[in-house]
Parts: sequence; C-alpha cells; structure tokens
Amino acid sequence: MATLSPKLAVQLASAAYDIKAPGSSGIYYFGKSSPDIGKSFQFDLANGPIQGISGSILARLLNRSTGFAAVGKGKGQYEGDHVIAIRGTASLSDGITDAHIGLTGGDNNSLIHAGFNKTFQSMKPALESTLTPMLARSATGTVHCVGHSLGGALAHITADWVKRRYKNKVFLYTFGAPRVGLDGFAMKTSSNIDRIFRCTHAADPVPMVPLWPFVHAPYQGEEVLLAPGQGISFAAHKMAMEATPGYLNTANSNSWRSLQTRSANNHAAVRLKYENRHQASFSNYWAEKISSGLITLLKDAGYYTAVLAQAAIGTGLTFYDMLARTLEAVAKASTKLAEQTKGLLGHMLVFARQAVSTVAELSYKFIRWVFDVTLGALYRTAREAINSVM
Amino acid sequence: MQLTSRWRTLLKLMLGGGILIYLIFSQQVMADMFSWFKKYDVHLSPAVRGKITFSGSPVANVKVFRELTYDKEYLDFTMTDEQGNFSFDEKNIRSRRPGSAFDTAKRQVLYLDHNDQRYVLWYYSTLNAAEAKTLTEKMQHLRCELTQPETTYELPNHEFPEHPHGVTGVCSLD
Repeated sequence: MATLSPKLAVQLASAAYDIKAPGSSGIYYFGKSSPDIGKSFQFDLANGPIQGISGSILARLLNRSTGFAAVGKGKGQYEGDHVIAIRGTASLSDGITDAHIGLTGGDNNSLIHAGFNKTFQSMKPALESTLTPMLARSATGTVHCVGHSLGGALAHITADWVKRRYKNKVFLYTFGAPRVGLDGFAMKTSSNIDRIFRCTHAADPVPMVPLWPFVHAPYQGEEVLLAPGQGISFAAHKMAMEATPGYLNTANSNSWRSLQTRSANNHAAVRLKYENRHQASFSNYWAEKISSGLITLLKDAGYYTAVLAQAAIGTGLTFYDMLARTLEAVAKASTKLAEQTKGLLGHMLVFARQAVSTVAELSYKFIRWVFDVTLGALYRTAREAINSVM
Repeated sequence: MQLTSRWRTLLKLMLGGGILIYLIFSQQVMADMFSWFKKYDVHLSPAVRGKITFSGSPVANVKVFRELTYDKEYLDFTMTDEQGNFSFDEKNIRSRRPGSAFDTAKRQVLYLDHNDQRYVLWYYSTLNAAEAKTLTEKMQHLRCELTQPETTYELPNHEFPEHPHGVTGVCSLD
C-alpha cells in the first residue's frame, strides 16, 4: 500500500521517454539509467513496450505506432505492486495530440479530450493483455500510474480504466499534465482512483490547458506545487535536470509530506471590479481568476447552464460568438451585471496587454472585439512557433 | 445527424479555448518563442577508447557500433585492431530541440556482434543535452570482457550529484 516517493515517480515518468522507439540495433531498456528505478521495479521489454498511436492525422493515416507505456513488477517494499509508466509528448506528431482538441465519450461515460482518448484506446488492447495475467496473481497489489505531460493525461485515463477493470488499488502521479475532461470526468475519476498526486510548476503552461469547461482532478482538491513562481514559461514544462526548474529536480524528494500543496481554485466565486483592472497581469494566477470571473458572471446571471448546454447541442456559432452574444444579454439585464461584465472585460484587456483597457460600451460587437484582438494577434505567433519546429 | 453537428461544434469550442490560451500565453513567452528558432549544442557522445577481449584474448577485426539517438539516430562504427582496441571521436550536433517546451531523450548505445551473439558494451539514456563529466572519463578507458554478464553500474553524477547515472553493459566500469 506504499505510495511511490515523489523522486521515484518522477524518475519513472522521465524514463518513459526512452521507450518511444528502439534504435536500429533493437536494443532498449526501461529505467536502467536511473538506478533507483531498478531497486523498486523490474521491467521486461522482451516483447517491446505497449504501443500506441498518437492523435496526429498523419500518424493515424499511416497507422504509425510508437512505444507509449511500460509495465513493471514491484520488488522489495513494492512487492506485489505494479507500475505503468506512460510517455509524454516527445515529437511534433505527438504535439499535435495536445492541440487536437475535441470531445468524445470516454469509457466511464463522461466527456473527455478526443485526442487523449484516441491514443488511450489505441494502447488499451495491449495494456489489457499485458496486465491481465500480471494482476491475476496479485489482486491485492497497488497499480501505480505515472506520466508527464501528455503521458500524465494518458496515465489519468489509464488509472480510471484499471480501477474499473481490475478492482486493484490504483494511485495516479502526474507531472505537468493538461486537463483531460469536463467536470463529470474529473468528479468520477476523483472518487474512483484511490489517490491522485497532481504535480505542477506554477509557470508551466500545460496544466493550464485546455481551458474551462475542462476541469482538473482531484476535483476541487489539491495539487502538489513543486515550484512556485510568477509568469508563464514554456521551459517550466520540462523534466530534465538541466532545465529550470525541471521536474526531475523539484520532485527529488523522498516524501510527499515535505512538498507544498495548493488548493485547486476550481472556480470560487470571483467578481471583478472595473477600477481594479490594472492589478491584472499576465500570469497563471490571473488566467485562473479571469476564468473564474467569467464563470461567476454567467452563474450570477443564470446563464451558466444554458451556455454549457448550448455548447453541447451546437448552435452553428463559434464558442466566442455565442459567449459574446450571451455577455451582451447579461449586461443588459441589470446595472450590477453590466458593471461586473465591464470589470471582466477590463481585466481581460489588461491581462492580454492591450495598450488601452477602457471598456466604452457593452455591445456584442465590442465584446467580440475583446476576444478577437487577443485571438487574432496571438494566432500568428503560435503558428510561427509551430512552424519553427517543423 | 445531430451527433455530427454536436461533435463539430464541440470541436470548434474546444479548439477555440485551446488556441486562446496558447495564444494568450505566447505573448508573455515571446522570449521562449524566439529561442525555438535558435540552435543549441547537443553533446551526443564523448570520445570513446576501449579494448575488447574474450576469455582474455583480444577480439580483433570486429565491427563496434556506436548508436546515438536524439530525435534521429546517428549510427557509426569502427573496427577493432589486432589488440582488440577501438575508438570513436567525440560527437556533437546542433539542434533546435533544447529550446522547445518538450524533453527529448538522448541515448548512447555501444554494441558489437561476435560469434552470432550481440553484446551491449554501453547503454545510457538521459534528458540532458550537455556533457556529463563522469561518463566522459569512463568512456576513455573501457575494458570489455565479453564473457562477463551485462551489469548496471551506478556512477556518481558530477553535475547533478543527487541523480547518479546508471550505465548498463558488459564493460567493467569499477
């Protein structure tokens, strides 16, 4: 029943990067380059790792599969336990999985990210044929699911599936993992999986996506904040020791108790005052705050459920069109709600670093513009970033 | 066809959300962005020098392969001389990958085929792009006796003392 130490969990998540493909020699090992792993778990790659197909269109067309997961048998204090270590995003074709955002019904009948689910489904048969004989002999052992980045998202779906399929105790450990599903998925998996250690760096952008209505698990629970900090930096997503801060460095601890936790601010009520908008800055903190402000406004106005439902049934409008039309209606309902809408938009403009953050009117056109200026300018930058790594 | 249109709208909604956040964040991370265009040094392998024996006798005129992987594979080989000695030059590349948000595994494998058997001389992998002093030193004098079992050695990490290196192979690294 022992949990993996943070140190062991992060090393397993890191070792999973090495199983993507063997070299031309066919030689590859799991975890042998981190001596701690070999002291606690034994991996047999004689039949290769569990293969999966990443969500990119090209990979699916070509049915191109790569190694995604390795299953290890516990020894010593982990005797009877098993670990499933799942690889994160290590190439561009995998990177598309992260940006390929759509929803689909997952195995537990709640809505989850379609790309993550596709990759999970592609590895599930192999995972099942590997686990079934192993767990038949050890119904009491814990199954530890570990992953970084996309690997963390896959570990989350895997942990939920293992628990429902085998009834063993299941612990989940993720590092810099994105949100996987909507609140239904977060709630179901929070109660189904026995323990969840969701580790982040404050500056890592990946745990901040996809945006609401995606929600993290543990639902309204705690995350392990391995490095506090201001701002947002892509480098904060890395594991490597030579990265700053690098998950391998920040999680290098023997006990979870010694690490700092932070309650996931799963949308506490936030009402933003227009005159305070200059306090906003471009940071994780304000991203969360503005998200909460939007949700609170929709709830205060009684539109929250309608927006979610409309998004789900489809109106032919884009989400931001629909949201802009909704906010226009909200602002017309009362002076109080108009002020609250103005406060939200003002904070958004300051957050997005617009030179002028004055909210002059609350028309559909203006609200749509607030979304547009941000989206338009930034879209080019993201495209350039993607092109630069091709 | 309700399902199809529902799915499409959801797709649009989620894409919008995802793009928005990426885009919003990309302004702040402009510096990071431009670092994606830059190329960085990646140290794939130090210079290697070693001697191969079988039951104490030199293994002569055999191909030794060095398979280095960092996104792509870089494979080269050399022949052992009459005394079983072999060597490789240091290998460095330039890559954009260290500037990206995602980790790239670097793998070093030395192996040879002898009497229909494949022997792993050295196996090591890491997410670090830079050189590791201990490994550079060890690779200067590999003593590889092929009748020895493959062993995993725990070696001190000079740069990151809390993370010892694990190197696996038949060569003695004591």
